[in-house]
Amino acid sequence: MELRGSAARFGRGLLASTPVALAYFPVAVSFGVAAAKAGFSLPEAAFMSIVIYAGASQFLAFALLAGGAPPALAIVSLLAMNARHLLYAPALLEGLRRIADFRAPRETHADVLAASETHADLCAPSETETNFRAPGETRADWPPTRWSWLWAFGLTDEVFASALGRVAGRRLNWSEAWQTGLGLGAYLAWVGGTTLGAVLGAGAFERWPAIDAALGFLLPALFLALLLAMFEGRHLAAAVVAVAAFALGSALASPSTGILVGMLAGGLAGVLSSARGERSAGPSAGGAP
Amino acid sequence: MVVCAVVGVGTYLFRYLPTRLGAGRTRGRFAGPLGAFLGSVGVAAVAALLAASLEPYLVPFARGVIAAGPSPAEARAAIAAVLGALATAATFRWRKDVAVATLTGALVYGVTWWLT
Repeated sequence: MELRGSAARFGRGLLASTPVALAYFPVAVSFGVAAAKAGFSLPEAAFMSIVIYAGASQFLAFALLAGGAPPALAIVSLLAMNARHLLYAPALLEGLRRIADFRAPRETHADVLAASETHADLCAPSETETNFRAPGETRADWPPTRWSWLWAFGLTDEVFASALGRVAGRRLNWSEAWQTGLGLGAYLAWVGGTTLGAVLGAGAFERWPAIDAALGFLLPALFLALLLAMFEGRHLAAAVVAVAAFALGSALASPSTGILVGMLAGGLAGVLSSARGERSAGPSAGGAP
Repeated sequence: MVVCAVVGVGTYLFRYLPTRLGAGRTRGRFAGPLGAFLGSVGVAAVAALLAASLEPYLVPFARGVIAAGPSPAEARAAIAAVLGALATAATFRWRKDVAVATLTGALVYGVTWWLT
């Protein structure tokens, strides 16, 4: 019974991954074609997508490795770029923990309905089943992380955003099986698209130059959309300094050096900006006149 | 391959290890300067990558404007890139979806490139 329930939740997660998978696929094909153009073999391109599974850093890996960056420098740069993933699971788990207040035990469903005027707004009828704790489940059990070693692998920018959007909307049909399905659908699209792109090879779209041109622009479009998705007002200094440092590093050395310098300079600018913000917010936060 | 394997394992640990710390305990560990750096380095990396990926579309055109004048190919790429970027931003503002915005931007770029 529990296995069947988990399979159903996994299936719903797989279905929920459709928008992400549909978007990942052409970008992954473009990545595979770009890998072939850069001289990477099919196994190398597929291996990169299977193991790293982080689009932006995979494109950065091209720039660094093709630009002759030392392996140690490439590793540090790529890991620094992916360090933002440290924050995804805590943000997701924290969001889930907060909405635990809206999960009521099954036995007291009627009582909760009577007591909470907002309950109907929080729980759509189709989501009722998962908005109530299973018998024996306590608030301390929530959110579950028993299978996090599995679903955390697929916690990319877009998968995280999809899951968090569901949590932020207090649509609590979240489960580890659902999260695993969501991640797997996106992962298969990414790896499949990369493989197809690498199989098609460098000259895949030479007969259709407009398509080739459009695929080439996927990368700047992806970075712009990612930047808009991640950007908050407090990131202004980091972004501006990163672009300025990139221009300087690129002009003085190479584009790959510029990317690394921009990334680190922007990160440090973010630290300084954050410290300044805390200092200026200090007196009012403390209630001093 | 070794670089990819090390980065892959590291990225997986970035995603997985915080789930073992528990929801409440992770906040304090990523606070302070480390938290500020982690919160900014991703944005900085993407901003630098955006600049690097747009450079081939815009810099040759800018150099052409300063010198004798841009070639038709440089002007075509720059116009298509600007319209593609505007389409990406507008679509993201409308749908709040990275994937849809990316695909729309690439589509607008390709159509503009084809028409000009």
